[in-house]
Amino acid sequence: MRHGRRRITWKGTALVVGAVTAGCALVTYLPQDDAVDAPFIVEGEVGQPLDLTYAELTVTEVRVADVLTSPAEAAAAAGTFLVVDATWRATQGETTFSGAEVTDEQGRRFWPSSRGGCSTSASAQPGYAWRTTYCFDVPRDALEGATVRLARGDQTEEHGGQRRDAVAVVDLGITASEADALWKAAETVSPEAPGYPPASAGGSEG
Amino acid sequence: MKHARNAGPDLAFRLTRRVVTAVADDMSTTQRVGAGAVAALVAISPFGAWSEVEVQADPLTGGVPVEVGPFEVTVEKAATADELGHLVPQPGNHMLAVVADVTNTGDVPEYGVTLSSAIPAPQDAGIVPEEPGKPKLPSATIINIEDGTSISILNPGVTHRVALIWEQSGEWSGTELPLEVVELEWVEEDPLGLDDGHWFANEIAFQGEIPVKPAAPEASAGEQGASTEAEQQ
Repeated sequence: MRHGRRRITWKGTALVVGAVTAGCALVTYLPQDDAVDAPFIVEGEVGQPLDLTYAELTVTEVRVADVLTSPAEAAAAAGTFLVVDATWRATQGETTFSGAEVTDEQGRRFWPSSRGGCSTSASAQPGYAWRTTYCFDVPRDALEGATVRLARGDQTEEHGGQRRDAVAVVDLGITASEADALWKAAETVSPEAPGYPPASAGGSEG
Repeated sequence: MKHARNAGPDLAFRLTRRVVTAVADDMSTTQRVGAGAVAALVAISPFGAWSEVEVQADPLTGGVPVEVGPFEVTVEKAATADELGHLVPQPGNHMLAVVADVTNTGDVPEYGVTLSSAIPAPQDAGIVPEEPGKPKLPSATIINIEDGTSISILNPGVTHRVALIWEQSGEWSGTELPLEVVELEWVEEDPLGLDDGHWFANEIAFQGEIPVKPAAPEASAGEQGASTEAEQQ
């Protein structure tokens, strides 16, 4: 059987070029559906347990500090440290919780500091509660209405690590009058090292 | 006698003249002027006619804030010290600290390395290279003046008083530090790499001579933090 060489025709060439051009145009000009990549936001308040499917999260306490102290060093805030205590309980497997970010009412974003014994992430075995403390150096006008965003995916690259994943956004409950009082208070906080919380806080439960 | 090696240029010249004459004969005066202008532009192209005009750096003065990328930077002073906190130089050298107030004026946090790239190690100031014998100078170590801790993140809206620190040769004996601040340009999409959305250290935007205050005689090795020397000066 003889196999003849296929001829390249103008019609075939036009079809291929047209298809490629149409594909490029679709990818370039059609708006991408943000909903496809958007994380699943779980909103809550301080003290409220939140179910993120891969973990249960509770922001247990919110404080401010001018100075953080740890056995290794003392750290002074340029603004004030917004100190957020949280308890993670992984539900599916050993999990690293990399995302921690505060957002203020102006939409400004603040990342945690590792100074003064604070954590910027946490890692927990499944079934056990794991306590950690995040510290954010923020200006005075960031306190009122601030929220903290915690997740297993990190917040760099425009929250790229949190796409299509559950994310907790917790209102820290700071009003305007409270913000003034918090700013004026000269507090020194010694963050507890990350670890299992005491039994009274549910730390020993499996 | 005509030397053989002159034949080439002569021939080329004659040919060029004939071509130009033949073309120009059919042109109007306006066309000749236009063609001449184009020829002149082509002729000067190899000599940088289209190069961007080199931007003159603005003066950098102590105590005067400058805007660079996402930062407002106010260089206050420079000082040397035998050691700064945990930073200890090789015997015979000392540490050089540039003290500055830095504010992130943007809406998102910035890395300390971005600040380091905006204020590179001063040239011709005896900064100890990254590797012995190689010209590349190290990035600054950034220390919070107040407590001596390292700063890796600068959040928006807060002003940090920092020391940018390098190890300096003990042989350098200048009294003024030639400091440069580099413009930071935001790269939304990097066609040459995968690293989209980052600050790129571009050309020198500010330069000036910052007076250097030498280490105080009473400076002791046990002092904690970079606040030490810089604040004592």
